[in-house]
Formats: sequence, structure tokens, C-alpha cells
Amino acid sequence: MDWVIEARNLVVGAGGTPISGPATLRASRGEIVVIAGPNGAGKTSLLRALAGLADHVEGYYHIRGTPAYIPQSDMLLPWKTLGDNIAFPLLVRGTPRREAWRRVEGVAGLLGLKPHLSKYPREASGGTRRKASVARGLVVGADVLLLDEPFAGLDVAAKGALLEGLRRLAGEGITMVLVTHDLLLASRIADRILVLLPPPRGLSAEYSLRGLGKAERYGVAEEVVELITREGGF
Amino acid sequence: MGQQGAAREAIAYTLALAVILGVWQAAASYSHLLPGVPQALSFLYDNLGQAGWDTLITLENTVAGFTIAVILALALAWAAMLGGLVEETVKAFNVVVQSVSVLVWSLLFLIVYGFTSRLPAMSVAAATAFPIMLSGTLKGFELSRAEYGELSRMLGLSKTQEFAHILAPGSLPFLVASARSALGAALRISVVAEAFGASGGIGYRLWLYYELHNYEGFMAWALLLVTLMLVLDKLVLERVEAWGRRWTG
Ligand SMILES: Nc1ncnc2c1ncn2[C@@H]1O[C@H](COP(=O)(O)OP(=O)(O)OP(=O)(O)O)[C@@H](O)[C@H]1O
Ligand SMILES: [Mg+2]
Repeated sequence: MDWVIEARNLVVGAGGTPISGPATLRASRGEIVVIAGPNGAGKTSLLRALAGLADHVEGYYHIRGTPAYIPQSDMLLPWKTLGDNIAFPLLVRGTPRREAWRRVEGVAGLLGLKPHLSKYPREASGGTRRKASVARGLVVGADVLLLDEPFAGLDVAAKGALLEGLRRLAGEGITMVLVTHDLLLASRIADRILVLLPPPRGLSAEYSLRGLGKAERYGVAEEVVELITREGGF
Repeated sequence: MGQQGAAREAIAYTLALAVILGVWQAAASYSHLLPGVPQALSFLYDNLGQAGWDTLITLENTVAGFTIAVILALALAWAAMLGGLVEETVKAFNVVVQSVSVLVWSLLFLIVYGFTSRLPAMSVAAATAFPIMLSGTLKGFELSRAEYGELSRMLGLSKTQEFAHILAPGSLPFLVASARSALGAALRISVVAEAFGASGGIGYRLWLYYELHNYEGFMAWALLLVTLMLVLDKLVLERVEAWGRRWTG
């Protein structure tokens, strides 16, 4: 099997102590891997490590292709329109404007963003901004998306729309690691759910949802919630 | 600002002006030295040509000094981005410059450049505007970095790209806000240096009229200076600041 994402005993550290892991995980092309866990378990740290943004990383990890990290906050530049924000990674790499715009419109179409491209971030809703943030990750031709709580703060409709957008991207062969607390929602598109606990426990449980129906998926989500509640220390 | 807000602001300024002129007029009726408002206004009207020249000189001094300050502040803020000792030194330098009194700057530059030169007024304006500009720029850079530093890393921007695309636009609101107060301060302070020297300008004329016991002239030029300040702030600086903040909030 050719893994798009592979990590073995990945441990992220800060100030000399481990803050995330150990994590051993694999994902194949087009797979959606959901990571859940209590606050402070190290989910964000794990994603940043996979994105190559963490400073102290031990263990082995490899990503086949171009990863894009979609941070917990949008990090859209408020002085650029959503379209220019999405085009930004291309333009700084020297892609000609015309070609950049062609690709921006491509990913915008995929996520239903086209009517919003000329808006400034403050004029767009939270859900639209989130999608723009995802689009900015995708536009460089990323084939791996590392998403940190993309549903946080979105209303039901926006969550649904983003979920559909992500499902469509997976259909196009884009591999995703999705960190979320919204397990009922994530279970609708997850191929697998992994539970991350604080070090030294790390990635501790794995549930496969492939081929399951809606009700069974919710059942798995409930099970994961129970596990996190039990292990989360409350 | 809406139309209603603008109207209210105009009324507020008119009221404030009326109060100040009223107090002045009242004081004038008790003092045999202080001229009344009408006398000062008519003196100004009779000497409009002179007023125009002085205004021009003062504006030139101020703007020249301000421009030097902006260039210096940007250069040093850019250097401070290197971090470490350089950053600490730039900040310390700023505090030191800030703690030198205007009186000292004025006399110092007069000693250096001579009494008939316009350089002292320009330099004092620069020395006043500089710390304000540098503080604002440093703050803008720091906040933009805190907010968008991760994005620069995610996209692998070079230092130059980070500056051009993130730090410069990100700190623009801080830049224009500090430019507004720096230019105002430069104008108020440059006239002090003009007063000590002999190279013309509103400050020079204020001092001259005072020495000649021409108090009508003195009050007229004081009025001129206030008007210049207000016009500059309301018609130019405020608009520039609003432009720099257009995407915030
Ligand atoms: N730079 C850092 N230095 C020291 N500790 C850090 C640093 N970054 C994160 N941590 C710590 O590492 C732990 C994991 O943080 P992380 O943000 O990865 O958790 P998380 O699982 O994403 O939590 P949440 O669900 O709240 O987003 C936390 O205890 C956090 O305080
Ligand atoms: Mg997190």
C-alpha cells in the first residue's frame, strides 16, 4: 500500500517536554482521518508537526505530495479580498496573475465560494471565511489537507456546506487529517476516527467507519465521545 | 462618519471656538495689553501676505523634518526586525531620543547650524516626530508578526516578502495613526525652534511681535498657528488615517 501520510512514533516537544504523541498513523489517497481528543491533548501540535511547522519533532513522518495546513484561526489577511487571499500563496511563488486567478476560480467553484471572492474578510460570514482559508490551502495544488477544527464557530448550515465541500475534495483524491470536537458531524464523512490523549498516551484508539450507514456512524461517534469523557480526566 | 455625525462635529468645533474666543475677548476687556479678537483679526487681514509666507516656511520646516523622521523610523524598525541585540538597541535609542527636551534640541541645533539657518527648525521637527513614528512602526510590526507570523511560515515567505505583503500593510493603521500625531507634534514644536532662530516662519514672527510689544500681531499669529493645525488635522491627517484603517474594525 502506498501511504500518502505516514507517521511512526511521532512526538512533538516544547521546552524539553513532550506535548503531543506518540502518534503512529497512516492515511491512503482520498481518505478522511479524523482526530479527536480532550483539550490540550496535542492535536494542534500534531497537525503543525505534520505540516512541518513544529520546531521539536522526534520520530518518523512522511507526506507524499504537498500538504496544506488550515489553522484553527482563519489567518486571512484583512486588507485583501477573499479572492486575493486565496491567490496569495500562488502570487508569492511567482505564478502569473492570470493563471493564479484561473486556479482560484477552480477551487472556489469546488467550495461554493465563487460569489464571495470580491468580499473582504470582515464582510464575509465565519463559514465563508473558513472556506476561503481551506481554498487558500488547496490552491497551491495541495493533495493533503491538515485541518484544525474547521467547524468551530460555524452555524449548522455553514457546517453542512463545509462538510459537503470536504467530501467532494476527498472524492477528488485529496487526503485529509481533520481535527475536531464535533464528532457527530465528522462521523458523517470520516473513514477513520483516531483518539489522541495527552503524552505519554498519545494516539490510543482507532475506529473504522468505512462502509457504515448513518446510524452506525453516529454510534461510533457516541462511543468515541464516551471514551474521551472517560479518559479526559473529568 | 455619517452626515449627522459630521454636522454634530462641525457644531462642536464651532462651540469650542466660540468659548475660547469669548474667554479671550473677556480677558481683553480687563487687560490693557491684550488686544481683542476683532483687532487681532483685522491685523491678520492687513498682513495676509506675510501670514502666507510664514505659513509656507513653517509648513516646509515641519514636512521636511517629518519626512526625515519617517524615513529614519522605517529604516530602524526594519533593522529591529533582525531581533536580538539590534532590536534592543533600537528600542533603547528610541527611549533616549524621546527623553531629550525640546528646549535642548532647539538650542543644540541652533548651536550646530547657526541662527539664520532653517535646519534647526527642520531637525527639531524630525527629532520630535521620530520617536512617535518609531514606536508606532515597531508596535505595528510586532502585532502583525504575532498575528500573521504563522502564515508567513506556512507559505514559506522570504524576509522581503514578509515585509512587503504582511508587515507593511499590517502595520499601516499604526503607521498612519502615528503619522497623524507625529506631524501634529512636529508642527507645534518646529515653531519653538523658529522662535529661537532668525530664519522666519510662524514661530519666528510670534517671538518677534512679542519682543516688539506688538500684541495684536502676536495674537493674530497665534490664531494663524491654531488654524493651520486644525486645517491640517481635519482636512488632511484625519482623512489619511481613515484611509489607512479602512479595512479594520
Ligand atoms: N509552544 C509551546 N510551548 C509550550 N507548551 C505548548 C506550546 N504549544 C502548545 N503547548 C502545550 O501543549 C499542549 C498541547 O497543545 P495543543 O494546542 O496541541 O492541544 P490541542 O489538542 O490542540 O488542544 P485544543 O483542543 O484546546 O485545541 C498544551 O498543554 C499546550 O499548553
Ligand atoms: Mg488545538
